[in-house]
Amino acid sequence: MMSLHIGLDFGTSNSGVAYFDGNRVKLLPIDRQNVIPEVVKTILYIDRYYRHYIGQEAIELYYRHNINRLRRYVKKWAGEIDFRGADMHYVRDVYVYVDELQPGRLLQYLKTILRRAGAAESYTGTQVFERYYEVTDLVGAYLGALKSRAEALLGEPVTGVTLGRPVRFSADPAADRQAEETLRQAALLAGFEEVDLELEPVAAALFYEQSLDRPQNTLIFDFGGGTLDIAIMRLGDSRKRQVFASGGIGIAGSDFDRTIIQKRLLPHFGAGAVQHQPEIQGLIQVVPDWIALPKLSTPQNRYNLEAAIQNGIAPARLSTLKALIFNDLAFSFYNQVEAAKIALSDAGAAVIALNSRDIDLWELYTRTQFEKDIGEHREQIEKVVLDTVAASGLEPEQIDAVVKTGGSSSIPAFSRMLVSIFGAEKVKVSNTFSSVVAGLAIRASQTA
Amino acid sequence: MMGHPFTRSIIDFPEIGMVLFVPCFCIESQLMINHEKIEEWIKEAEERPESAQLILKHIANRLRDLAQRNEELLNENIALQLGNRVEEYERRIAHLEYQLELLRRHFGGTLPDVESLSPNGDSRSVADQTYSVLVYTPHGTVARLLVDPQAISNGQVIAHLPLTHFEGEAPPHILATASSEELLFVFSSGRVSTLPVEEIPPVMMGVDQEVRSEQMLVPDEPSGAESLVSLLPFSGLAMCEVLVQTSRRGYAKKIGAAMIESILANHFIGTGVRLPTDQTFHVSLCMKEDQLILFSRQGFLIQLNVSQLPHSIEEVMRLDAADHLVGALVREAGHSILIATQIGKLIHRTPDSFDTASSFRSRGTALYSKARREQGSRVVGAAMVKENDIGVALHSQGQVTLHHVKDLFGSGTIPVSGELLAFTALALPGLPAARA
Repeated sequence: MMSLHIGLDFGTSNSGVAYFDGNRVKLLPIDRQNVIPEVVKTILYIDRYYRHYIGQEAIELYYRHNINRLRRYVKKWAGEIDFRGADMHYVRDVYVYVDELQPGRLLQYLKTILRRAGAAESYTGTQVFERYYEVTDLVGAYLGALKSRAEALLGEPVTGVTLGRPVRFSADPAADRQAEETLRQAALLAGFEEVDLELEPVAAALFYEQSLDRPQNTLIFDFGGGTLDIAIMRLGDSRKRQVFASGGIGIAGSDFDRTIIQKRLLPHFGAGAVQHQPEIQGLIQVVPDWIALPKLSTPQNRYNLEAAIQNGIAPARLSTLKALIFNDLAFSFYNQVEAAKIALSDAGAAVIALNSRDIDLWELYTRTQFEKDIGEHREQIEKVVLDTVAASGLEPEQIDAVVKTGGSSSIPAFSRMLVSIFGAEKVKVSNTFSSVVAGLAIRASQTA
Repeated sequence: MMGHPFTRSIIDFPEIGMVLFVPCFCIESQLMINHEKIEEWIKEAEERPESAQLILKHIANRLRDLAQRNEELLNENIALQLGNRVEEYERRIAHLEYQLELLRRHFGGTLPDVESLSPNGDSRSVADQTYSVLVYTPHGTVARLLVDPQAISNGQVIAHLPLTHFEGEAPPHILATASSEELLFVFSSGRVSTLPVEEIPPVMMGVDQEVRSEQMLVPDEPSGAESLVSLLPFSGLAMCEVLVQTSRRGYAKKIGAAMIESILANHFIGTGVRLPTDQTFHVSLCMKEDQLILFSRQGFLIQLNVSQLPHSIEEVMRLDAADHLVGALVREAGHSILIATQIGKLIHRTPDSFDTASSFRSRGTALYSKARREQGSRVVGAAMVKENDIGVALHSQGQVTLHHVKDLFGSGTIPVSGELLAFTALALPGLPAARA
């Protein structure tokens, strides 16, 4: 039995795994429950028995375990705070209320904690029930789950991995090295025997670089689910590869989902129709936050909603809100929103619909509306692109090619934005969802 | 496309030659589909003509769904206007009121607080409750005997009834219950009727507790070939989830509580039989998770999970050709079972001493040996009892006798003149210490 080397794109919001067999890249359908099976959400759920779940399975379990569950808050000592003044010094105990019936811990932004692990505001880990998980344990658990899934799909053991890494984890070189080392250790902990790292923009540009016959200044526009990463590089000669500048912003696909809900769907749950009911208005405002939603399923909130419905306060809409919170529909709801957003990259209109007991939500959403809703984000992103170009010391005219990759890069508004800055002939499309991971897979096969 | 606000609900798709009028989408900004939104759809169609067809398709699909739902709502409205729904709701309300009245009686006049309920759900004390023993025959005659639980002596004869029991005919039955109960009369034809116990006048007794035959009343006369097969205390109706109807030949079916309203309104529960020679035997009020225990005349017993019983009539206990059921009890926590034979011999069992049947159509567990069965031992009745309860026996000579269950546990027998015809128990919520 041969051992395989895979490419693994460990993203802030989404990850992916690919394998290059010498002829073509196979993107592994690593999360069959996801809207796009080749993409898995970078989310880890640890239950009370310390079992690890990732991706949509993690989200689904998190909802299933939390909606309509019992809660019991107990006061626990968390530590103490020293108060020091000019003429006094006292210590005060700090207590927190902990839900002792909590069925599990959901952890996201694992890549961000990797960045913080190397930084001055050091993050070393977290307590999950009775066990302490260091950063390497958390990232290792996630990578381990990906490795197991990849082995199940490929039918053979996977021993080597080429992991992507951003151009800079941190502006501080020591912290940057520390973050890279933590990622490497986590991969070893996950069971990979050989671990290599490659810059994500380089991986994204690998296809493109292989087609070049002379060096070029290239802007990589990697726009995924969680972040926008921009790198301006000199490509074409692997020995003289140079990164002129890198930049980015924490705006991407999941923010657009939140914006759609915020601007278009909240009225279905009573926004605008409920006045002078601060506790109900508070519930409505939480709807865009998929992590916070299950926490709303408390008896008190149910009572408040039922009382408002009984009193005739927007009864149909509050019934919809109640159904969303208590009928385990949140998972379908957020998937519907994401699917509509993806559909709008190709079509002019899409429908967000949720039909179940006590809920009949229907919203026709057009590309014009979407572009209007994300207008503010578009301006921020344009500014980041221009700032990064400026930081590179190059003029837009000196950029020879713009390679866009990542799911959100296919949103037409951003394609138009890049065309308007650099010109239509320079904007190239790399594999939307897979160029980084495909490049990593090719690199993995070269290093194997 | 721009114009007066009230014309905005017309969507014009010139590129596909269609105009879509959206009549039911209202114009107030708070509504889900308002002018602003429609304007945005139009803008999309103007900017990208290829979107127009898609928008139209989505709206048409939604209109189709809404039209279908609208028709359903219109049908519902018509039913409401015609009064059908009102009548249905009135019937439901009347049934709920009836159940409430039964509950009130069950709890002795007033509905108690939850805290004041005893574990078995009965808040009455012996002192403020009266009790009745009802002796009834297949011909529909019922004799109601009053019982004062404070003044009972063991083996006391409370009445001497003029019984004429013919060979081959089902013997009379007895029921002991609180006088505040509601009775369900079950007839062999499947007919049912209800009557409060207190509406049956108590029999007047002469010297030596003699009751004259003309004092035996027929509250609900069986018609034609039907016979009265069971009287059932019914005030716990609101607290049961299913009715279980059993037949003499060991068949059973369960009926959901939702059907009770219809059964009472139509005075018909169904014959509950599959074989032409069979006959309804009893109806039990159960919860879904209860166990039902059936006894046969030849001394077999089977315990069944109510949850596993069928909804259509099916054989649940395999009986010999000459055998038939004589008892059907719902298992109660903290109670034991007292089974009486025709010679007054008592068999005491706890429900834990036998298993729940895993499949239907088995003969069940034998209560006594084959030899005794061949010698002619037959079961005449069984009751779920606690130590403080009162055993009630009906003798073939017509005597109705009362016995402290505690004493019956000790003696294991009921002194019999002739034969025992029936045996049951009067459940008391609790007796004063002096009497015990």
